[in-house]
Amino acid sequence: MRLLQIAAVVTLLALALMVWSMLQPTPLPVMLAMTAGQALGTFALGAFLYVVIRDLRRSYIRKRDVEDPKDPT
Amino acid sequence: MRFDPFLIAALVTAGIAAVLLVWFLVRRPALTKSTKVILMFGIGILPLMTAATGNVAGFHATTLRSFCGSCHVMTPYREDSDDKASLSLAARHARNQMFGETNCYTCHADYGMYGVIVTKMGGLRHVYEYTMHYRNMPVKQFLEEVQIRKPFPNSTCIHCHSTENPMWSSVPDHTSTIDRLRAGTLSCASEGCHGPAHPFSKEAKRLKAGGH
Repeated sequence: MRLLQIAAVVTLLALALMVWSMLQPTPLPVMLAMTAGQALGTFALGAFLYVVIRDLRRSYIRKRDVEDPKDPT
Repeated sequence: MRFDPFLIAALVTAGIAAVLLVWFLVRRPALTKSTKVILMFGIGILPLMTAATGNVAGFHATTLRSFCGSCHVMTPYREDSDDKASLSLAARHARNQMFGETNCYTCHADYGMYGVIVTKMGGLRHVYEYTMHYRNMPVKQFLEEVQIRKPFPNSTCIHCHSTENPMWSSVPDHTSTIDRLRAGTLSCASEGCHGPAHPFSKEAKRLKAGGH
């Protein structure tokens, strides 16, 4: 949950940079949006995908253990 | 602000994404499947659409004269192109709709296979040089001391003025210099021919050389 909250804040920052470059298309905002903005957005998307894949993996393992419990006896 | 469908799309998608993300941060809902779907739009799909459309809008913005003229040392060049009464080569091209608001980019862009990339790499160099060396330089000094990095290529002129047209060939100065023009040893924009494109910068250099 904490990682998703960080990803949401980082995405908001990236969006702010991109919107700034569109409303004031001068060299500094445009370059910031196309470098830092896109890097932040990529990081946030990566964090979101990490959380989703981790949750899917956990639920798959849980489901497998319920359906096929390993009984040592 | 100009109307650009890519700009509108970018702003709308950014706005919706921001609303979804603020909702997530403020309400802190449980991480259910529906919350993940909402976040997929807020962190993934909508920002990707903003980046894609914003890049197109951003690229278009970087081709505008107002963008080139946003660095103070480019002010005389921008003002000359804006001047409807100016007879400079650059201003006359700016009044042509084929060039219009993008006349700086149209004339200074490379037209090779990787022209856009090469041009943008050159633009990054300009931003670096401006930020590191010229951002505090007075315009007058800039006009006297700074010159174009490499000679303006005739291929840019020939891109439109093909040198194959009978009207072009009927000009004696053209036919007598055609080999030099095509080889690039004589510039179309040289003084006495069609240039200089930005006479005030050449005049400033001449005045400086003459000690005035």
